[in-house]
Amino acid sequence: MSTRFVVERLMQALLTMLLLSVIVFGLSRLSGDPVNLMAPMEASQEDIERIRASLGLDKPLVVQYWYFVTNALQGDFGRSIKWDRSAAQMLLERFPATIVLSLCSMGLGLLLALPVGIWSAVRRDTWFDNAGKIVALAGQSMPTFWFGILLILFFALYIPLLPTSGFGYDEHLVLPTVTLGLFVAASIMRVTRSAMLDALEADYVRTARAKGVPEWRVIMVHALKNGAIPILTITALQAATILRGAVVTETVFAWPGIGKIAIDAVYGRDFPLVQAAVLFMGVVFLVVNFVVDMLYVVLDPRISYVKR
Amino acid sequence: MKNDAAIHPARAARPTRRLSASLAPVSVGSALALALLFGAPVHAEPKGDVTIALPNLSQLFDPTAMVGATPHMSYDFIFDGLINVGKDGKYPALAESWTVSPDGKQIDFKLRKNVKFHNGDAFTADDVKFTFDRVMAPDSTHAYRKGFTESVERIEVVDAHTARFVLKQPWPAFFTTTRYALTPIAPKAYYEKVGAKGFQDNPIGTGPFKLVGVKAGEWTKYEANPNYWNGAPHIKTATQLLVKEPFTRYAMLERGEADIVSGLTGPLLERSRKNPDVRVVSSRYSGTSGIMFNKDLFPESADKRVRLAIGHAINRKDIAEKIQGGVCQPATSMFTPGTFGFLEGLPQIKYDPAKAKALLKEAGVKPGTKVTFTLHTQSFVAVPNAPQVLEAVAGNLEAVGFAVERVSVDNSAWLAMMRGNKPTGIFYTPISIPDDGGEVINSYFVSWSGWTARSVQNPEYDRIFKEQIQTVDPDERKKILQSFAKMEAENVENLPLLWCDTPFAVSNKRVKEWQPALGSGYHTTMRALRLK
Amino acid sequence: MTAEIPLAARPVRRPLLRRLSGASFLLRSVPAMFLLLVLLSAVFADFVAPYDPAQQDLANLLEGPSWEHIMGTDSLGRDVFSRMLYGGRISLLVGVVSVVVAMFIGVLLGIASAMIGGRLGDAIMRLTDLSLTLPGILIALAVAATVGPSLINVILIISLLYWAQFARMARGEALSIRERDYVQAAYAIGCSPLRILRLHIFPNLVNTMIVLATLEVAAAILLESTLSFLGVGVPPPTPTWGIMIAEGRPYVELGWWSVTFPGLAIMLTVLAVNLLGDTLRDRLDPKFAQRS
Repeated sequence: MSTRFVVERLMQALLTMLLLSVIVFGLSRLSGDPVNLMAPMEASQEDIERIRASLGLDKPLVVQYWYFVTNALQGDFGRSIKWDRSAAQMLLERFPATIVLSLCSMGLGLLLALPVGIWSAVRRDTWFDNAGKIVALAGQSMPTFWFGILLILFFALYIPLLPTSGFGYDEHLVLPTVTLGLFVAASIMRVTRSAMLDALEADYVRTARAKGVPEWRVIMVHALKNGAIPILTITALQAATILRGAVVTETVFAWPGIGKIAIDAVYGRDFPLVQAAVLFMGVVFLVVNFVVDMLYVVLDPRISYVKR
Repeated sequence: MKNDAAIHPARAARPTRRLSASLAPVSVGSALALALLFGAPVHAEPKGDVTIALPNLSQLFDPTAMVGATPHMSYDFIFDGLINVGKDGKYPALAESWTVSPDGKQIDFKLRKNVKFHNGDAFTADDVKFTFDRVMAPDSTHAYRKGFTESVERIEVVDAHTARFVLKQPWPAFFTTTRYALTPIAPKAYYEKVGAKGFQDNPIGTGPFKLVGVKAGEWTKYEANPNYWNGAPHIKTATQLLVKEPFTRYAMLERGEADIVSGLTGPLLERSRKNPDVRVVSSRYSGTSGIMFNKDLFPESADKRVRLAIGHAINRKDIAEKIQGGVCQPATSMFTPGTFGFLEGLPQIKYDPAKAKALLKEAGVKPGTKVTFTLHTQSFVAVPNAPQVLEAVAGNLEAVGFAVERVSVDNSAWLAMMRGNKPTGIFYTPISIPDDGGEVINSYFVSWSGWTARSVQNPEYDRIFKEQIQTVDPDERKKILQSFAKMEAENVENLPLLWCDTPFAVSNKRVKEWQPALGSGYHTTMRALRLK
Repeated sequence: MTAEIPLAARPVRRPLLRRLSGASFLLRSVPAMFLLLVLLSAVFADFVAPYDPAQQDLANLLEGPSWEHIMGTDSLGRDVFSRMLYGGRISLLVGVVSVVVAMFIGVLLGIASAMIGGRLGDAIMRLTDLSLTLPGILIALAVAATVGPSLINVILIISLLYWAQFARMARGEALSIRERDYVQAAYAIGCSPLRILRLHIFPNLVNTMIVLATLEVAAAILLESTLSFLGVGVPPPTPTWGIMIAEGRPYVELGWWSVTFPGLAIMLTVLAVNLLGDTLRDRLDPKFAQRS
């Protein structure tokens, strides 16, 4: 990996963040005005202007944008209007909950998807393959909020095993993890299956078999290693999605992650919080992508980011 | 106060170790992750802890920069006003008594002695002056500043325990209007020391509870103030928990994770009533609502017969009983029985689609007439379950022949629409805490009201509003308000729709005694709450 | 070499009868038949539905299934069965139209980027990547807050979130087709780019796009339900399956029929569309997986 590559990547990331900042700034300003929710109906125009001024919304848009970007570069995203707390601090405070849920869900997803996907490929077109396909797809076919509510109904009320919602103990993790885990498992399983199908028919696998390598080793080492790239790609895509906030799951289970507060911020036209959230999610996305690109190199030496 | 980000204060339904062990892969991993990130979980106090799960939460603590009505849900824990509100209505709090001068332009408040703020500072008239001065300051963003500046000339400190309001005009509504009377008193010395931001982060007051924990956008935790002047609370801690999803809130109550739950709608409330472990208590008459008309977009509505016809088209009774689960009742006027100035015995506009059609025909409104109607996508504390109620009203309008075009708005878009004076042909306006008739007129009937988007232009109503505001004698004032109610019942400028209570489902297993305040779903203080 | 191919990987042609009764055959035909049924019921909803889907009956709300209302009534006393039929129409409409719009934009921009190349082509690709960086639901909500929810806006919002996938894949496909020998040869003998586009690139692109589109339709139907959950779905009185579940979700136990039937409808439809997509993928574009 050359420094030139790193610099290029950084420049691209910066450009992306810059464009993202323009989009979120523009979109939030278009979506309305937080003062509508703050001032009572009786407020005079003068009252409204005073509140707008106290939030800095009275300045020309270009000036507002300039403040937003220059302050953001110094790590200051302003204070949330609705909660009157530092927007950046609110997101950082919530990120651990999002990470925990994401890690557990991805863990559960992979735990289900990889064995089923691999075995489906090995036993292609058998009942196992077909059943696995249907079950995996079914997990992805239910609206998440319905599935989550059903889980609460069955596993917190009918069989009072688990807490309905909240955050703090291990038990609180189970239902949201299942909700998200089954959702991500479906895509990963399907990609695993088709990647393994291709890998199992490749020449090197035949060669390995011809050399008398045991079948399990052929599957788990030779084939899986060569099917790893698409599996990694889809896994990363799913991880990036839920790391940026599993809005529905977090809402249903009152999970204090970043997706829930970001949605709330849009409803409340809480500009500083919306801006901070979108940029934060942008960074998360870029970081996940960067990590994945690095993993590609590890997995497949043919990929190299050195400019030749 | 530390920003306690560590642990969700919700009671886990008894941490079950056995379960943890049997759920090895997920559980161990998560335990590890949790332990790494936060340290070991802390168990909440086993006794004297009350959890209330709410559909909305306010964590703005500075009473001199109040935004709308929602901050009351936290103010009532931390602060006191000169007057407070409880289950029986308003009562003197930090003011023991007051005298109003004969011309109504001077009020002397006798302040309670031996009251201390949470940091030990004594409460004096300086704090009263400081608070109201800040509310009225030119740079103040207090939501109801205008009400104060219109009436109040200045506040004077007569002695340490006497504060004097010198008024520009008589202001009888001060005592009957929650938003004015209950302005929480902030500590001058402390506030000046820490500043506005510092106060928001660590607010202190004279109230029955101290703020001990905040997780922004999630929960607020209070602890009993043992030295409260009106007697210490019976419980040790109270936690307000934001849980947006109605079914989740309901499940929390049934599972014992929450002791009090609000924001349940019709059928779930019905079910709660049938559950022997749960009782439903209500903040009576916390909201009123009506149907209004934009005469530019829907010119036919200038005809009283058309407005009456729409009144007959709406099935208030079924909406109140079925959709709202009995927490609302059909309104006979915009004033509720809890409103100062309410007039009893006004006739109800009965549900009668046939009569509605006949009236429309008489007024020359043809079946299939197009009309726009606002659908709210978010509910209100004042009127729960707004989306369904309004879709039901839209269905009622269609049933008598209108072609209804729905316009969906969230709260922000709705308020923008009203401020811009561009409501739909027929629209709906709820207001919360309708405790004073004058304020209800101010909201629904004066020509400059934003809540009706200036759709009512009746000079007589404007005159009555100004007259009652100047009338010092309460009985006199009540008469004026009642005569107004009678006049409006005749004119039907706006259609009264529902009077609503704010229901709370309470766990019978844990909570022995609790009643929310009269007339406001936001005032949920737990000083008098007793556990079993 | 043939002897060394293990049995599992060797294509075996089984007798016709066994193929017809096999699980794979069922997996192909049952979803297709189910979708046909859904499609027919959506098209002929006006004739099949026993009630007006917006007709309220507050006196009989949340009544369980009976002979009068075979799937019961919802929280405003509306007939769930009739709403299912009409709701399917709108849900399918939203799913299909939004994906067609997304595909149109995506393919256009993707091919343009591949054919034009250079700065402009790169810029289009940057735009695509940027679009993938956006947190979808959040942007959807913000756009809905700006323009207000309506059927057409819901469709446009979903296309806004989905076009980039098509653009990316169309570009990749177009680039690889362009490099093929016969296309290069066509260039060499002076074929115009438009002719190459029409004769070589488009036909090769169709299969991939159809497969991707099928999968995205399934996702779009689900996204519509999520938007309804967030309160920015298609406004009433128009029923969609998503709105039916969103409105009925507090009554998942009390009035299970008002949630479970539309829930199952979405679940089975999405499942069927996905299975159909798999079948199409196997038939039309077996190499799809690696490029997605």
